[in-house]
Amino acid sequence: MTAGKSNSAQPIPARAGIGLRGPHHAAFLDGSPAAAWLEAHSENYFAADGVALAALERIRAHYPLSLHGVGLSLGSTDELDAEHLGKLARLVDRIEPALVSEHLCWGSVGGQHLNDLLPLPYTEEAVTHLVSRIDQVQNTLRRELLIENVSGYVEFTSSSLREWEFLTSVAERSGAKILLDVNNIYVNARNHGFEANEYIDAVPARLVAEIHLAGHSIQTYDEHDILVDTHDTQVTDDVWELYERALQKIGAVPTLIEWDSQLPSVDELLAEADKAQCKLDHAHERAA
Amino acid sequence: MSELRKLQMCCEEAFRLGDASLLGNRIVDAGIPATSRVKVYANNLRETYRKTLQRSYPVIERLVGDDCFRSLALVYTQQNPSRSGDLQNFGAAFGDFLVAEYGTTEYAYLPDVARLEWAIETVLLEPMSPRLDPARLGALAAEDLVDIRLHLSTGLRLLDSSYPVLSIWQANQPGRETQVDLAAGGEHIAVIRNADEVEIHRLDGDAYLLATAFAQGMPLGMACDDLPDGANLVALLSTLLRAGCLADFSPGSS
Repeated sequence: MTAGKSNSAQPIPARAGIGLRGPHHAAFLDGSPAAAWLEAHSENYFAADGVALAALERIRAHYPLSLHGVGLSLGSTDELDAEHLGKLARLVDRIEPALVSEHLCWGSVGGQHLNDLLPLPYTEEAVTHLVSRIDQVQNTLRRELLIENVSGYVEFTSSSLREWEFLTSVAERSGAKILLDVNNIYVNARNHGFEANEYIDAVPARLVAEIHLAGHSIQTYDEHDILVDTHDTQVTDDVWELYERALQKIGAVPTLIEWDSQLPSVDELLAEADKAQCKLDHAHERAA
Repeated sequence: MSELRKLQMCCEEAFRLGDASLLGNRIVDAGIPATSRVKVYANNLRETYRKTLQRSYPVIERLVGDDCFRSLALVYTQQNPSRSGDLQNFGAAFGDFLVAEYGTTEYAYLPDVARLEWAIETVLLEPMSPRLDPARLGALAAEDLVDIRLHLSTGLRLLDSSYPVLSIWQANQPGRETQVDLAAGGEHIAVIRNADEVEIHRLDGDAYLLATAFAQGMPLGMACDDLPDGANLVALLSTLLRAGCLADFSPGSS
């Protein structure tokens, strides 16, 4: 990775922020909602002259901001999409977000995109592939990337590493930091039958730069209940409990409430962030 | 071919079709069979693309109903698989797709409604053009007017329909329940970005004709030749100026 340029003037505080979604742009333009920081989906602002990016620039003046990508397909074996990466680089240059993150997944092969966060096998081959791709992205963006663990509904028999070993290995070898999605850990633990606490305890605190929290739902397929990362409801009690454990292990780090479907009011999002903030405050007290 | 690529190619087909058998014994069971696990991805894909189209085409969804829209979204996705990690343009071909579905039926107006919805969605991605000050035109000598070329606003979308497509769109906004007479005749429409808002203007036939001539780069004099006898050029230019369709002009070469 080449030497990175400095992050923006407003670093992301170790507080609870919320995801910024289009229907809420107007509410945030004057900076009045009391959000500690915001995170926006990069792809929603790729139109260089569009209304959405103009709104983001205005909102950016009031809040620390992170950019979170959903479509770069880091783990794909296709060539990295130069056009997509170029748009991301231009957006990053223009917005100067404090953090830039992507998902540790793939979403396309043979030029066909599935526009989903698809799981990778936890193999040395996949680690090597990802490290090379992340290096390419970090060099293009001239900054450190955060990589997020995703919810998965399948695991592959070819995996030779545990998921947390895979995540840690990719981060350590690429120089990227980890965006630890605690809900995704819970969802995967339930779907794949491992101990979520074991995952939390195994991830080195020094690598974690951000935490995500979100709601999930239970869907039934052929009479089998599967937890699905739907981002359409409140964070569950079990995930809050896991989050507390993560804070004890990792310490207070910026935490984001993600909510994409069935989008509630800004006030409801802020109330959900307040719950996370209470737990962050305890973590700060413990550290003091 | 690497093992990772082989796996991704198998997954792509299996997830798209919801067919776990394509993955053989590659999936860990852990108490939930692969057939059920793969269905989650198949369902996610269907929902992602349906919701993407739903955001772009709410009036079409209202007109055809939820079940029909789901079916249309499924067939559209099969015929127009995504080629980008950015879904912004995923619905671009939906109007043309609806021509194939409905073009020869009593619902032949649906493609034009879809084109209007697409214009409304995408005009906000365009840069904001300056609006031509009518005084600049007024300051030109009459003999110079003939050769000028008027430039349309960058984000302007012009639509010409045999159906009252804007009336249909307006009648199907949330909370509206009005009926539209499909025999009322066609409409010419200009969709344009004004700051953070979308403006939609119904143009009369001559104003539309003039705007399309400008879009083709015709000088003003030549554009007027296409107008019917008796057309009031000043009134037509006024209409286009008021609607914000005109951004600038360049002088003639002579």
